[in-house]
Formats: sequence, C-alpha cells, structure tokens
Amino acid sequence: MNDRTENVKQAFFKPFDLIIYLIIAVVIALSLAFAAPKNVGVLEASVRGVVVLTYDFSNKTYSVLDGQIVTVLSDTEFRISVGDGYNVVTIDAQNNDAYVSDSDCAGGECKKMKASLGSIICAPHGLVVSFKGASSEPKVG
Amino acid sequence: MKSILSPKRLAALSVLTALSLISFLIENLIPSPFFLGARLGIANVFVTLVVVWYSLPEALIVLVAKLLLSAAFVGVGQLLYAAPAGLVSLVVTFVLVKTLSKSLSIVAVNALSAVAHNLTQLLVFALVTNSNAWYLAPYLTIVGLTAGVLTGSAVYFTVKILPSKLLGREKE
Repeated sequence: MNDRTENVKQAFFKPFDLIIYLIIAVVIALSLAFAAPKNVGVLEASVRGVVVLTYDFSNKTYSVLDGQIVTVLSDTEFRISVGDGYNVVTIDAQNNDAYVSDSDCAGGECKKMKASLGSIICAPHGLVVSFKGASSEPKVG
Repeated sequence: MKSILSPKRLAALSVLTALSLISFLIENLIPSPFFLGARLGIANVFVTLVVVWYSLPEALIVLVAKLLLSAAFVGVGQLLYAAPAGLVSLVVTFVLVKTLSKSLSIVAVNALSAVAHNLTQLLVFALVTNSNAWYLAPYLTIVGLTAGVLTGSAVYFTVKILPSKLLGREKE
C-alpha cells in the first residue's frame, strides 16, 4: 500500500482543510463582488457569440439581425434555429423578462431559466439570452 | 513481453472505469437537483480512487476511457466541457494528494477539485459562446463545494473500509 493511501485513511478532517475552505470562500466572495448582473432594458439573444436578436423593453420593439436563424412567431415569440435544433424565446414584456418556452435541446435546462436572473444559457445550442450589459465583463481569464 | 500493468491491476482499472461510466450514465438519467444541470459527479469518485491507490497515468487512462465511452452513450458534444474540466480536476486532485495528503483530507482535496471542475466548464462556456457568464461563478462554486465534500466523503470511506489486498494493490 502506498503513502497516499495511508495519508488519506488518516482522518476525515485535517486542520489545514480550513485553508482550502477559506480559498473557496474567497472565490465565492470575489465572484459575487465582481460578477453581479444588472439589467438595462435591451435584451440580446446570441448564438455562439453572435447577436441574432435584440428586444428593447423601453419601446417594446425587436430587431432581427439574422433572418436565417431567427423566425418571428409573434411580437413576443421568436424561434431561434441552431443546426438541427431550436429554442423558442418568449418575451414577457410586462415584467421586463424573457424565457425559453420551447426547446429540443438535451436536458432542457434552458427552460428553467429567466433572463431577469442573469442570462438564459442553452449550452448544447450555444444560445445565450441576456440583457445588454448584463453582468460585468469577464474578470477572469 | 512483460506488460506494464499486471493482469490484476488491469482488471481493477477496468472495473473502476466501468463503475465510473455506469454511475455517470445513471446520474445522467436522473433530473439534476441543481440549476444549470449541475450534478454530484459520482463518476469522479472512481477517478479519485485511482489517483489515491495507483498513479496519475493510470488515473488518466481511466478518465480518458470514461470520457470516450460516455461520449458513445450521450454524444460527443459534452466532451467540449467534460474533457477540459475532467483534466483540470484530475491534475488538481493529483497535485494535492501527491504533495499535501499528510496535511489535507481527501474531502477538502475533492472539494477544491470539484470547484476547479465547475469553473473550468464555465470558462469553456464563456470562451465558446463569447458571453458574460461569470455571474454564475458563485453559484457553481457553491455547488462544486457541496458535490466535492459529498464525493470526497465517499472516497474517504471507500479507502478506509475496502481491504487493501483488493484491486491489485497488495504488492505496493
């Protein structure tokens, strides 16, 4: 048996663990301080980093920047096609919010999110729906 | 020709790879209890066990095998996030276990490793989509901490309870 196995067996908790937990607490505190989202009224939907749709809540108007990807279903419903898949982004104009009402992505996690909580992220489709300027610029990397 | 891996060790690594893959697939079938599909990462328990019991190259073999086999089941798309996060997580675990295992418990090591795993996935996502997703970092750090403590506890009790002569480790 090697030394590592013996060391691991020694104890469930060791005093120096506190340093690790302190490091993690600092990471949480720093990311909370520097990465808080803020809404500014214009919603952007982007696919793999390219903005394809914007919605201005101040005058309730939309702008389709890529007609091949975005299909307008109504004034508040937009189908965004990504490869063989799609997401339907629905605008909740009354509450200055947006959500994904339909999607064929694996997992369907994007349907649980709201733009007002930061961003809607559909990782399989590379779709991000967020308020323009929401969240600060990346502070890491 | 003499093999680098003894048959018993090869069998042990195969079993650990299979357990890692099966736990990943089962976890994948259950709806995530966390936001953004974050999961406990039970599969990492077995990779960490290989780091503790054997060596980095063998852990790397198990990780790569698990990644490739899981891609065959759930698609190659997830490799974009799973591969870099798995590698970073493995390196963090190995370095800490190798150098500081006398001072740190495996639970704390796994906690830091899981946080590194989640933040690596977030970094990849931010780079791929060119989006400002960093506001998710606090949430993913807390989820990573929780998952890491739970899986680290599983590693601790497995190493403590499992007889050392199992899994081809009796000659070390």
